[in-house]
Amino acid sequence: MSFPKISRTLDQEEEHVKVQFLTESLELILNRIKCVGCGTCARVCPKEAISRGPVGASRRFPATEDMIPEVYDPRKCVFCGTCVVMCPFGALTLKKNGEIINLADIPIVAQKVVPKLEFETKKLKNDRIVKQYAKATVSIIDEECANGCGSCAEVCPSGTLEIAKRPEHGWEMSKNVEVADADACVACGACDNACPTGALQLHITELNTSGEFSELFWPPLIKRLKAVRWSKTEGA
Amino acid sequence: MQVFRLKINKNRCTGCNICAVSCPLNFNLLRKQSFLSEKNAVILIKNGTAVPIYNENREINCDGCGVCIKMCPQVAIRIEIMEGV
Repeated sequence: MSFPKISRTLDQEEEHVKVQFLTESLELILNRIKCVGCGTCARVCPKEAISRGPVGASRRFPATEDMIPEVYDPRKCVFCGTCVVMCPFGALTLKKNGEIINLADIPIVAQKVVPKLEFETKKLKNDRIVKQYAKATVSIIDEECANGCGSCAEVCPSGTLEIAKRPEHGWEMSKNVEVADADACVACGACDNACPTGALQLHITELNTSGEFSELFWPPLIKRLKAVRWSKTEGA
Repeated sequence: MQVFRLKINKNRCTGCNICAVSCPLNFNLLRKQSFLSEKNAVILIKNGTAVPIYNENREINCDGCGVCIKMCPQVAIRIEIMEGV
């Protein structure tokens, strides 16, 4: 047998990926109930170890085991913990030798590579707790929107987006999705990550941080965080 | 690169076309080009069964929104995460 040994278990509640090295074991746990598929972890990952899965489908069928919004590749992962720090929903946890590493003990936080996130804790529907450290604006291009697919409204955890009248069939012309409550937006980016056509664009405008940070690590990370799926293609 | 693919249970599929017309990406293509072909469609009816089409070289591919899975009356569609990712 060769090291590292990778084991992956997936059930309806959690996904455990354990990497056993010769002297230590590391484990990344995704809580699928807390995860909304916002794609923050996939965007901020410095090694591109997390890629986008079927986001809309995973929210529509949360009970289906193999549909996970973020697909994780343990062979690329270096266990830096960037995703754990940045996840707005606290869905990710990192374990070392079977013990949970606290957020303050993660090396990039302890050594001040990333600044302190000034977040506001909010309680959303379904008892979901979000730490909101950013602000964003949502814009919808009506011509691109495939009327009535409703992926954005399906994934939105805060009730910012709603479809005025839900059509019985997807192909029926219906009213487009609309911004129901712009102030409720928690800037997670789930709607942008789930939109199949690029009609919905999220722009992260503000990021609340304080304290020291590493010039080499943090500015590129902000750039990646702000490069949401569809606004990225627009800007390029 | 995308890590998931649409899979269709051919024994169950009746070729009713609901998936092809409910797909938001197909909807946009229909609106702009008024026809679907193998080159641009994400899911298409061929010889009486639905066929998912994936091509790495083109811009539009299945986005994993799950509308077709929800609409399918035969529950014949699923999404599979690729092995070895």
